[in-house]
Amino acid sequence: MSAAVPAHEHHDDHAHDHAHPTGFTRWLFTTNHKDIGTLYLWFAFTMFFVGGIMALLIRAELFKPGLQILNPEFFNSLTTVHGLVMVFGAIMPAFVGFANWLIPMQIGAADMAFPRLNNWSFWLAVPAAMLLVATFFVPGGAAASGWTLYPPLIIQQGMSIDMTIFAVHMLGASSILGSINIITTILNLRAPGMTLMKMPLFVWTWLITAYLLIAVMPVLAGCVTMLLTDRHFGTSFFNAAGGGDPTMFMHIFWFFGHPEVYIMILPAFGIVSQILPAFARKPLFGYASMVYATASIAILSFIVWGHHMFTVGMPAAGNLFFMYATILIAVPTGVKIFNWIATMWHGSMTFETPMLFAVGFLCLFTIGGFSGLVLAITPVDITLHNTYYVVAHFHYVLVSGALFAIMGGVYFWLPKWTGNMYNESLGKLHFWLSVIGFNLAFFPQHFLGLAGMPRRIPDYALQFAEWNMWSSIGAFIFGFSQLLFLYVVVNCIRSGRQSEQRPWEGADSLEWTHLPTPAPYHTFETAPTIR
Amino acid sequence: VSEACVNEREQRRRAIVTAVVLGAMVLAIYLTVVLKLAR
Repeated sequence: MSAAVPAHEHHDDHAHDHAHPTGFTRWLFTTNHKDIGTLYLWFAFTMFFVGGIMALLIRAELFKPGLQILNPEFFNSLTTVHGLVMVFGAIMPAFVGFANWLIPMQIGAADMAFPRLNNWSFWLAVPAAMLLVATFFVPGGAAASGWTLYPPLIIQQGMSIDMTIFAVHMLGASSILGSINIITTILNLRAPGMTLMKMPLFVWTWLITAYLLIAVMPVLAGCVTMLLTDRHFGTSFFNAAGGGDPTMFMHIFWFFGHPEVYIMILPAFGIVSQILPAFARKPLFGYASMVYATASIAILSFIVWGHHMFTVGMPAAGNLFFMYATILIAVPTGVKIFNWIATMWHGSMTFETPMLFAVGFLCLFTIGGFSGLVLAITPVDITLHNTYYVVAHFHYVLVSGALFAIMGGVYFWLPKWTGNMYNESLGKLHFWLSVIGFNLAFFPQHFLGLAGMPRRIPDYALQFAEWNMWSSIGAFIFGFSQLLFLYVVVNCIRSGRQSEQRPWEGADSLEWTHLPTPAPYHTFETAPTIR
Repeated sequence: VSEACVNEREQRRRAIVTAVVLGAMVLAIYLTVVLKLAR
């Protein structure tokens, strides 16, 4: 990791002209990495609320047994589009927003390697997300097959599927272009002396994530292209009646889908690896092993896709292979967890909001990791497959994992982005409401799953009533507490007190040590030299 | 031509080569899925 060096006279270089366009055209035509990062973050925030409303409708329906407020078809559409919106519209763009803001600043570059491409990547994502949400308003309703888009169901639905396929293509293209930009930037635009093993871990995790995206997004694109040709051009890739194989879709989809899980969690690892050392006031423990563990997780993610389909009838040898390979991922993940704990060990810790979210991440993501190990065991998974245990597992990974890291990261870098401090008391209140609401919403789902409640159903047996009620109450607490998050962010931007140059004394990456707060519009026009 | 300018040109050339290689990878993977696996 780069050594902490004091801010030097380089600041003066940034004091000159920082004029930039204003108004709508600034945001439409911008090629500035900070502007594009801001756009991505607000876009993700918006989609987070769109997907969140769908989640609350789902939980409102499930508050008690019987059909309450939604018809079953619409309920299925909600579960499907909630998943797609949160994965492609909220979590991934949020991390790309962080990447845009931070990578150039953390490696000492002036901007991304291809600023115009960067603009295009963002503006591809917006109409795609709008198209995805618009599927609710076409005849036949939105896709109702679950976010996995499994045939043959998906082939039989109406025009909303074509819109969904087009949206997924565009979002994939956006991600691919963004990834090419990120890899090129990191490999070619690092400041003199910023060797690969001096890069902050956030940059490392994004470098590896970008390679994952390059490798698997074309697989998803190929997969949904075949769906499209099955629907409209007379092919039978996945149609058993025409000699095709629906199971092949599952293999291809999950060859994309499992690395996708790591695409959504590796940048979170990077953010947490920035926050924990800053508030423990110690360097990250085992930097090199963190890099190798991240790379190991990424490589292993390509050989475990079968654990999503233990029940489709693979040979026992296949099931065993995927079980052992999946369990193997616990090794590099464990390295990371223990390194984070060792980083905090004997540290001079304080618990401001970013640290609370990072520690919350560490505790709750580990629970999600453990339930993942349970599900990796083939005979156990055959019992738990398609139950709420799976829903609980991946929400522990993606909400208290990815989303908590995003929230922690927002609080951590808000002073650098805006020049203002957020309200610490409200930040902490937001954290505690989120933790309580989240656990109340999702921990009972383990019990529901173990008791046999299936996923993706709008009605359920009476025996599941009580835990579903608590789960819905928790979901509403979690959902509405995010309005507080919105208020804290807006309040910070509009009327927060001015931040110090380096509000977190343990933060030692270039954006804190070499740049003023707030970060000026143009940074590192002359590359810094890293010792 | 200054050294900084030469360095910038060289940096730009390397960036474009990197992007082209990555783009070719994407295309190759996409075509492999559609043409080979789906045959």
